[in-house]
Amino acid sequence: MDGKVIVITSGKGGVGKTTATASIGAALAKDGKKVVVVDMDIGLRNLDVVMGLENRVVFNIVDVVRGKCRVSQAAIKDRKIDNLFLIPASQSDNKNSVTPEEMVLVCKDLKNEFDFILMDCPAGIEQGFENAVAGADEAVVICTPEVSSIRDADRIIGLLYAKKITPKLIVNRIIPAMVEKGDMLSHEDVVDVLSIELIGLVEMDDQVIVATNTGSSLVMNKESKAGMAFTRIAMRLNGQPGLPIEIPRTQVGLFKKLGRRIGISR
Amino acid sequence: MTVKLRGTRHGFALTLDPTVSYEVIEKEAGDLFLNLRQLAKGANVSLDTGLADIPPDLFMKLGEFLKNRFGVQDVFNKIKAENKPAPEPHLDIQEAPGGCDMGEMKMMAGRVRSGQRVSAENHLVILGDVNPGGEVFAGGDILVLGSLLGTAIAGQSDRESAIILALDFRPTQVQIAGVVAAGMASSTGKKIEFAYVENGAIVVDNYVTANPFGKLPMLEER
Ligand SMILES: Nc1ncnc2c1ncn2[C@@H]1O[C@H](COP(=O)(O)OP(=O)(O)O)[C@@H](O)[C@H]1O
Ligand SMILES: [Mg+2]
Repeated sequence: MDGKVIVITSGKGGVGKTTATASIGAALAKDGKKVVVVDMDIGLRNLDVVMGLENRVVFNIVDVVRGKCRVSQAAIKDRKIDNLFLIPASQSDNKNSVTPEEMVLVCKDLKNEFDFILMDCPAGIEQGFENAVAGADEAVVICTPEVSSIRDADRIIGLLYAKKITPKLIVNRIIPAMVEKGDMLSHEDVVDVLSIELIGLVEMDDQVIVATNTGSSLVMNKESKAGMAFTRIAMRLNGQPGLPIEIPRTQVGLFKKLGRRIGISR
Repeated sequence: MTVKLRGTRHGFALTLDPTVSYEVIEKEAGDLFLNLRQLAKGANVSLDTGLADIPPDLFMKLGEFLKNRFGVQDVFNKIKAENKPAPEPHLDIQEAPGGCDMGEMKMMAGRVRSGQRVSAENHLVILGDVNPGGEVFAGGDILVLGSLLGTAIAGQSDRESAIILALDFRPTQVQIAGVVAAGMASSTGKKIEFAYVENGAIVVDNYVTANPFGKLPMLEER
């Protein structure tokens, strides 16, 4: 097997990296790919909680790096999705417990066993970021429509380009009603500044919190707009780059909708 | 090192300390010119000793040395040359003093992202945008042929005549020489604007309507 390592990063914390990693990983696995999601937030483990696998954690990524266990021992199988695995972070070590060189070697091993390896990157631009990015072939940058998040994403994009990685962009936590009123930056504003390829727009969705709290997968919920957006993002990463990007909107009345479709009103 | 060499619009400038012995000066200048290889050939060299009058035998000896050894065209005293009256205007474009010399201008294409900094000793041209959190820094003017959203610092360290121009002028902060302007009301719509210093304050104006250089009586070098 010759898998692909994708790092999911943002610079800023709390913008949805962990949510995106779990959701995109699940969507790729549902599509038949063999996927492992790796929690690189060493010391602040939480991908296992989001995926509802907390009580199965035995080994972690630091153990894999140190050779204390094999990849197959550390990779925990998801409860519902067959091809989905998690390698958790260690909760007791810190970001300096592993080095970028060691991560490159681990990524090589993982590529032999999985189609997709998703790295959930910690916030910041220090060693934790370096470790998560070291073995990556591709990068996805998550940004919210807020000035501070854009600033950090831009910094990360500069650092990724310096590492010869061309990142792709997800804008998360969009609130369509606020965008339409002009109270929130639109995704166009974000893309204007960051100017990298957009692969998805995810709106603010209460189902994200429900999924996190129940440890279930967002993409299994057909009612979740965020879940559907992540499913489409996974398809774009998995050989369908041309899939159109749906722009989150508030519900509009039937007449207006019809008008739009046949192109008479605006 | 007591002798320093740098490129100028006209050729090269050699800065030296006239109190140091001639042997040392010749040795150091020789080493520097050796590195220039064929660039020195036919070049004009200005000598800067910080004095209005360079000791005549130093001037002669060093001049002969540079001409014979490296094929330098002409050697002159920087300070005297600067006090010369401006040349008569003439219409031969090739020889007009405003003729663009790319050697002293830095031109970069792309996007200056947050946390990145681009600097130039003299003028700086960015074909692209400067994002919020990005910084452009220049000894002379800064021209951004795109959106300026970050910080621009021109005329460093003391050129108050420097300007900062952008096709879309919405900087976080601008600084010209020692004058800083922050939190300027961002202009609406995309019009070409530029910032300059007037009476110790930074002023932003529409470049097309103000046409600041169009009014100059003749072409001038910047
Ligand atoms: N699209 C969304 N809608 C609603 N809540 C979201 C969305 N994306 C993320 N969140 C919430 O935001 C918080 C931070 O998300 P998380 O994925 O942990 O961010 P990060 O890993 O970047 O720190 C979590 O509480 C998560 O449930
Ligand atoms: Mg996280």
